Amino acid sequence: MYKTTGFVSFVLRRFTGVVLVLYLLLHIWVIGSAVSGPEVFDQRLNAVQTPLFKIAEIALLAAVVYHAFDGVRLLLVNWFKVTDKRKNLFWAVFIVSALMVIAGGVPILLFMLESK
Amino acid sequence: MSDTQKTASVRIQRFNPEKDHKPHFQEFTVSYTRDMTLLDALHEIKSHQDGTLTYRRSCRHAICGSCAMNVNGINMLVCNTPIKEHINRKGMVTIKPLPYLPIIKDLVVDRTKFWEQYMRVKPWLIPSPEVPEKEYRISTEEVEALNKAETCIMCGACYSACTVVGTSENYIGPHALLKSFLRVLDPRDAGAAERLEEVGTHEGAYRCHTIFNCIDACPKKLDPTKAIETLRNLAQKRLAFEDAKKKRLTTITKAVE
Amino acid sequence: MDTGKQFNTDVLAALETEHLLTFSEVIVAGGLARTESRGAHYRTDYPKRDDESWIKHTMAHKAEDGKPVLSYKSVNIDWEKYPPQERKY
Repeated sequence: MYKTTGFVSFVLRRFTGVVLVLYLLLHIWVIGSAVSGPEVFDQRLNAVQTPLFKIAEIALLAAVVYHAFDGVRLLLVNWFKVTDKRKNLFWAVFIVSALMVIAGGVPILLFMLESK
Repeated sequence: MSDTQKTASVRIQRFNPEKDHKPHFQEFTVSYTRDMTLLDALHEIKSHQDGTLTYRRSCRHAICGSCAMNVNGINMLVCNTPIKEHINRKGMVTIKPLPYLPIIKDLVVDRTKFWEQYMRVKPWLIPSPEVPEKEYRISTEEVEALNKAETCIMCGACYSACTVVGTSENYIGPHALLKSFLRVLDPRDAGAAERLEEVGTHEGAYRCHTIFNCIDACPKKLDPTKAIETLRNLAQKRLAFEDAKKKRLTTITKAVE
Repeated sequence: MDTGKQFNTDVLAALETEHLLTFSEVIVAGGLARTESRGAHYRTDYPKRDDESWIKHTMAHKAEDGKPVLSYKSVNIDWEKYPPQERKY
């Protein structure tokens, strides 16, 4: 494959998109069990509160944040003539996403470690 | 700086359709000077080291588009690229044929699909049924808007750098979409309706993922992505654009202010 | 030396060299016959343009001995609308 920043952005976009769809299915499976009564609901909710899932939550945050900001980048690219700044925009998305993941992920990690 | 001889290792992908099952690499050593281009290096290898090395080339000054190849992972013309700019830290430069196209022999690829997609957008002027008696009069701004699209030399660097081309069967491709843009925005052209119908589809302007490999690869610094975005916008406002075009065709023989 | 039956560069080079030689001969024959200067065709023995005799296209055909045979075709221009003028730029 022809490897450039644009290619990396594209692959991440697709990958995070798929991850978000799978997450949605899992989310509906857990929350939707509310219709089946408190035992099933509590069981499922507890199953996704384990430390492994807490770490997965940080990954989910990364997927949401990256997909959202790359989506904003796409809108900018579509509406405005920003071709000269195309690389800057890719890097802006990577960096802003990384910062937000750190900003959101550190509290999650601390919470997880505290409640052990 | 004196013209001291330095040597570089040129690693070329070879494929002999009569003998090989798959492509393999072969390394050559070349002495180079400050002004030597990659094409000069290929000529040197073919003349003095291996006469079977096969590649396309013609004008050697970046206007014919024959010599587009993949050097160290990037598409470029080899005739106007100095070899010293692409020698890596290990003293090596790697030359492969354009990606995503079938290989005929060594560095020569089969461009049939490239030309088919090009013909698909009708890359010629479709004049209006009322041809003017004298010349068409076009403003400087209208000409400038088309300058970049007209400079395309059809080298294939953009097409074979495009990830969407590499992962889809029938994506029209940046080269053809740029040509379509050229004709759609040409004030003398009356075929906007049929052009926008062909390219305003999931195989045309809407398939572009704005990965921008095309702009990076283009040896003439053209902007196919901008052309594709414009086509997208025009396809959405098709009726208004066609009206404006028809009006412009009625004034095209009058002097420009 | 290029071997093989597919995309043989030596065959291509031989064909192209033959074409180069043939058309060089045609161009030289046409140039020798044109006793004037016009545009990129400049002769020190005929340094001026001769519109009276030489506004015509040179045509070349291949004779049986392979040499070019020259003939001439008239130029299709409206002389009233665009009369020939001296090139002063």
